[in-house]
Amino acid sequence: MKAGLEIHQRLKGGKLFCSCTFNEDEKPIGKIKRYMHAVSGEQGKIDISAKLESEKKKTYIYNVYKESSCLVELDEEPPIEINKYALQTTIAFCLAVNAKIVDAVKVMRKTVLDGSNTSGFQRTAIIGLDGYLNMDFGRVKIETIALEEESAGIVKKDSSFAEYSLSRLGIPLIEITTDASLKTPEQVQMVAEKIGMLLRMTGRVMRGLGTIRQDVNVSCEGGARVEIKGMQDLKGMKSLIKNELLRQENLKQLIKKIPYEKINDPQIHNLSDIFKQTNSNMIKKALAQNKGVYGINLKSHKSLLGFELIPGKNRRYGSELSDYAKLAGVKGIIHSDEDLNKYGINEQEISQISQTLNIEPNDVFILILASENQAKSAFKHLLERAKMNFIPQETRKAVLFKEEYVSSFMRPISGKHRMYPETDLNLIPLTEEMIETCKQFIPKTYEQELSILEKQVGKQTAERLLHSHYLFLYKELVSRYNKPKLIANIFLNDLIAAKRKNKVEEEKLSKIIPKLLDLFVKQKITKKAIGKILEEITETELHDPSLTINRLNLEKIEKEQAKKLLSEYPNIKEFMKKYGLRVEMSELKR
Amino acid sequence: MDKIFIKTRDGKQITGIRLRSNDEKYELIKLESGYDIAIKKSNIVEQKLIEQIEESSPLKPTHFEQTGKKIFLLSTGGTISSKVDYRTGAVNTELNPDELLELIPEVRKIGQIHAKSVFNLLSENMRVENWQGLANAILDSIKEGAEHIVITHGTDTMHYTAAALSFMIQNPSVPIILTGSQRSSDRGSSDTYINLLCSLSIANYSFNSNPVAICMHEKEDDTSCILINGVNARKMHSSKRSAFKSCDVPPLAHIDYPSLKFRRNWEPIKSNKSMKVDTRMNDNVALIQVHPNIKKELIRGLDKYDGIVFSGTGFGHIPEYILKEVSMLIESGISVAIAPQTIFGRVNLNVYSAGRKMLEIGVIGNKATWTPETALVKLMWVLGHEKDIKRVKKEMETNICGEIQNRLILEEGF
Repeated sequence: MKAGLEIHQRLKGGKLFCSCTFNEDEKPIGKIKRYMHAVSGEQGKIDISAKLESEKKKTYIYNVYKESSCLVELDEEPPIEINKYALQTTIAFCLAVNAKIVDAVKVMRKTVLDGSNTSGFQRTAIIGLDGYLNMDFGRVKIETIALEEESAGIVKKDSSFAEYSLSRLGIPLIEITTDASLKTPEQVQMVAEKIGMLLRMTGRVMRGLGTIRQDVNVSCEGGARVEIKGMQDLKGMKSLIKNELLRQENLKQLIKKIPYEKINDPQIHNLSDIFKQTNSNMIKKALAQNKGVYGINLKSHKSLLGFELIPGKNRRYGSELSDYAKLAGVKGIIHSDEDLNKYGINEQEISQISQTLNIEPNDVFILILASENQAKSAFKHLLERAKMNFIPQETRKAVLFKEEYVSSFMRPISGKHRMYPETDLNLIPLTEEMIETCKQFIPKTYEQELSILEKQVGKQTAERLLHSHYLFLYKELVSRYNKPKLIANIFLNDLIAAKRKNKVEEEKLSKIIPKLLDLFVKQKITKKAIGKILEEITETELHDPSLTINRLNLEKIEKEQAKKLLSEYPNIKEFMKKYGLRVEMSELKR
Repeated sequence: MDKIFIKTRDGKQITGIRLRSNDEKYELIKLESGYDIAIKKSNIVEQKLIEQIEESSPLKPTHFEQTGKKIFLLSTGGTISSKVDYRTGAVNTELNPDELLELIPEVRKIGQIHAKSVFNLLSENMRVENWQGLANAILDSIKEGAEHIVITHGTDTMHYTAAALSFMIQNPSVPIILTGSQRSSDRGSSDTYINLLCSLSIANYSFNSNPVAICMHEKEDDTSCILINGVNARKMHSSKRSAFKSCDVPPLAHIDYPSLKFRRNWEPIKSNKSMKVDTRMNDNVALIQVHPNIKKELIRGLDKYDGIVFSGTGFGHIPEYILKEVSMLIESGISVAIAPQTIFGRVNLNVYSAGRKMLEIGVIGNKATWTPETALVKLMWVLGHEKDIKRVKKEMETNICGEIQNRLILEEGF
């Protein structure tokens, strides 16, 4: 096998071409409605995947936000200026992987007509070329590093419309593309991990679910190159690649058995009348929506559609055909290699279908529930796939099935016709001064960072810090207060404990830690009180933790008075029970 | 096109197709991946030609059979007929009307489309002689049997052209519709598609009096266009699809998309008069924006013009301290008209003493509801055939096609 990676990571610092902030929790303030139209690309040709999307004639609804979207996201205003912070982050990353920086940034438009970009394209620009990473198994080439716009997030969709949220549209993404030299699933995972860690070490990338995505290109001897998108779980990478290789291997075997010469263009029959009295809820519902039941006879394909491409993972040859039919916007297909009882279709109906479609013992029938035009289009796509006597190059998406990842077909692999220049922006020259400035942002490697942290907090804590969301806040606070052990303890222990007890979100809790440290160095609270405050603070007290301190009576008792109080107690245990959170034991011993 | 190999001082090795760069300091190369990359010429240490590649021919318009009304599509340039010049990377106005139709197959159902290119200008470069050339092209089309005319136009000055055509071709024998786009036709989200389809679909509706009007997006949604009477239209936003607003009057009609349902509001004049054509224009007219501290010298320097429109503050006021200079211009035989810089609302020089003094010196346009741009174009047109300052004033203050409204009704937003 041969594999390569394409990693997309969201960057901090606002949107790429406007001044919007990204607020995931924001509620929409309105909706707008748009349509997309296929346009001819640079060489006067319409990109195949672009055309497929616009064939679906969908309505697109966009949710509009006050903070997270402006006229730029609405495609009502041209891009204003490239985000300097994101550009600096990308240049710094390029330098970290020894890539050569372009002389000037040329922003391109990549045609996207599934509605996920209001403009009909995604803005993207190459920043670095020809970099490399040294791995234990050898050197991996980083072909390009690009800076691009995040797409809009899907809210819901069906065959006639798709609704998107504009809040994340335009967030800067760094796109890192390796060459296709990786030879094992393990290597792919190692490289993805290394790049992910390096990105985190910049301290300038977003964290959390969905902020990093790994696309993987896989090809094998005698197979085809496929691009699998949307992998968010590194640990699943091995199963994804293993299953893809298996799929291609089994397809190779299957191709030898398929009687391609028997597939002509079968007639599409309207079978709706057969189902007038049906007990199938699915068909009843479709008929009520003015859809019909349409069917074809796929000659001599008996038991081929049910052939398992990935055993036990619900991927059969029929799934591949179904994925192509879905291009027309239908939900899927029903075929006679399946157990039709699960759809509520009875024997009498099956025999009527077989009679109408003239099904012979070696034939299978395929049914589609849709309007006549949609069904025609769905069968057209399905038959195109059925006639491919080779493994097609495809863009597929990762799907989790029973703790392993498999993939399903999304669209044909997109060609180079998808790119044309962004005419609303000039060339952006990258001067030597600019690149020099970016050197301070070059991320340290994991090993470099580990050796620094080890000296501060010991190896075990250092490793935990390196994998923590709070690494950069930790470093900032250490440089301000010079109390590494205390600060590491707050993030790695107090905060985790508080998270379990407190309803307030972890992110909000983490934001008050600098305030608490400030109160601690000013001798207003004790070390132990910090954990207690994190556990007890309420949503309304977040702006001012001293409210919590007063409410819980946690103010620190100064040394002399504490000593006096202690002398009044018969034993230290009783004293600590009452004042433990308010006195610093170390002061009393001296 | 040349496929070349370039090596740079910092060790970049790049192979791709050389594009024409619009910055002479850089080579622009298209990589296999589709990306364009800029390379500073001074950084190149080695460059060699790999092969010459034949340029693929652009989209060829397919011939198609047509039936129905005879619709003329006249193109004048602008964003709507622009496409990316892949050599320079800039947006150029070179998409011909046939190519435009190729992009929108649905228009063939509406009628027989006859596409013609009149000229190819970005509308900021348009001049009075272009308005006249366009008017003549319209008249030619009518002679050739046009039953509906759609003009594609740059949006920057589309409302000036609409006003000019409104005065030059009164009571046209066919509807004259101008349209454009705010997003170039080469992108999936372009408004070209819907604006053009709606403009053409109007052919299937009949008017008591045919309008000269602008048809553009009504909102940021792709759900409708509005038809705006030519003299009442104004571009009110630099980038939004719904940039064109109807000032002081409702739009003539709404056209829903995708149903193409036509919802009529009003018509400018109900007349059975025949078409009246006069394309003469006097281009020696200026439009001046009044502002605090405007200099007397500026006003004195206007004495070479035949006509001046002042875009006045509020009701149409000019400050008292320049009144004497304005009065001298009028006395020397220059027609001075007033329009409201508020865009919306009426010129009313009876309310404040400043206004009354303006009336005394003989300014034109009290009670007019025109926009400054429409006032400018009307004065150019009136001065094209009339020199007598009194008759100019009388003609200016008589409504021709909706620029002076007797009644302003309550409208949403204002």
